[in-house]
Amino acid sequence: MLGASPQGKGAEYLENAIHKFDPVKDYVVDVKVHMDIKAVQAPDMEAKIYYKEPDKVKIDSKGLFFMPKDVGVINPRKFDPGKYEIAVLDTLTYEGDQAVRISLVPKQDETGSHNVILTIDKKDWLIVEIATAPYPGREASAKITYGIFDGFQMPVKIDVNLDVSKISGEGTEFGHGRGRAPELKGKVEVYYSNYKINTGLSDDIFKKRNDD
Amino acid sequence: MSLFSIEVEKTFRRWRTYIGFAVVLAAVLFLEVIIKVNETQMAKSFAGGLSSDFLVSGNILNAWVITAFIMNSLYIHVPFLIALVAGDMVSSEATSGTIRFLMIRPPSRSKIIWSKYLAMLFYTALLILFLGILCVGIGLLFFGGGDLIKFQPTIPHIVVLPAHVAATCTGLAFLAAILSMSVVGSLAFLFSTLVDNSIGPIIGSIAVVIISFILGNLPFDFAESLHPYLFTTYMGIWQLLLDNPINWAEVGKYSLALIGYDAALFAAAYFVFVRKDIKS
Repeated sequence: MLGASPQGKGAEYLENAIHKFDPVKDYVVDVKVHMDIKAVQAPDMEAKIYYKEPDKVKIDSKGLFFMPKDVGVINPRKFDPGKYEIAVLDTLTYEGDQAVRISLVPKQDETGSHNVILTIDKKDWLIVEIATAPYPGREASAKITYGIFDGFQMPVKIDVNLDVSKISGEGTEFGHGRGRAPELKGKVEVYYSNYKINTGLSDDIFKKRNDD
Repeated sequence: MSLFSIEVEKTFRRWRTYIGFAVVLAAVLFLEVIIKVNETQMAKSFAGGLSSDFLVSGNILNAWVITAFIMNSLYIHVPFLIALVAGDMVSSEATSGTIRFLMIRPPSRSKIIWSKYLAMLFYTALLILFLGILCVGIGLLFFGGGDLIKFQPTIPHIVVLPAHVAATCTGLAFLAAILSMSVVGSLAFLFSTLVDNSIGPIIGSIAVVIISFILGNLPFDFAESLHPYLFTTYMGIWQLLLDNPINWAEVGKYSLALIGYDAALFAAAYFVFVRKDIKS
């Protein structure tokens, strides 16, 4: 395990992961979410996710669909090295390959960002794990498994561990406004299939906002 | 014409019977229009804290969610509307001076009280079904269908019911609500046999409902020990049917308790009525 490295090295690792994603201009993917959270009784949910660089995301679903924020839609571009103080935490062997863990701490003038720890596979420069803690009482970590689609390495499964002991905005739960907010602690499995990459998605698709 | 039909006809000849339907129509229409006007804001409110941790997509604010939301009124104004008619079932005969004629005619007192009680249950069922049809009908018209997402505050958890399951569960919830509200009706009916005016039974039954609710929500050990004996503890039976999976054992327990209350209250009303001494 190494001590904190200079910003340059950590930023370099992050930039490598971002550049790995450079050829992906847009994609459409079918997503299935399976929740194993005691406080959430929900059937498996399906949706189609549209992504266009740099950060346009649209979720289209027939029924109700929800998936963990931050770790559900993989987009290395959202980790802009200019917005974070980046430090290397350690190097490790991750499933037989060399990997590095870096911490991203938002610079003081960056609002809306939060601390993130990324594990990056140094062989393929893929983000294989993400850990976030956007506010006290909420932690999420995700382990990402990749597959190859049209020559691009894209996520096929993300295993999310969620621990939300306090929902922000407590007290407005579904308009019923009574009682305590549920403790969202458990696992969420997100499966990705049927990728269509670089099909030239129109900006019009993203004009209508998602419900979030 | 059966006694029951006569009692139903008498009930629906009174203008106060239609107050309940008018109030339900006005309340549901008003609420759904308000929600429709503030749709974006309400959708965010209904999603609550969920949207801070999840990317949410789909029609959150749909007919089933709105219906479940409005069903909370079963604790508030619907008991009053039930009591308004149930509290008048027997006492109105005394008020209008017809009770002596009723008692001296061939049908036994037993048959008379049964037919009046069944007419009260018929009104209760009709009012709740009217509420259900309005909620769902206007809801589908304004907001369309979709999955039902519901926050259960008692044991904090989030329930998502797919649209086709939501429709069935909502139907079952309204049937359970009829059973739930029948206890309020039975209570007002009992009071109606005790006095010669309608105001007393209406106010009396609502007072009992309110006191029972307050006792049921007091955070003291003594109040908690009373829970199993308060009928209001079981009035939320309809909430159990909007869960996933449905705890049928609990539904059965609640149903038996409510049927027990209905039976006990009707038995008391029966006893009072058949022994009633008509003095004037």
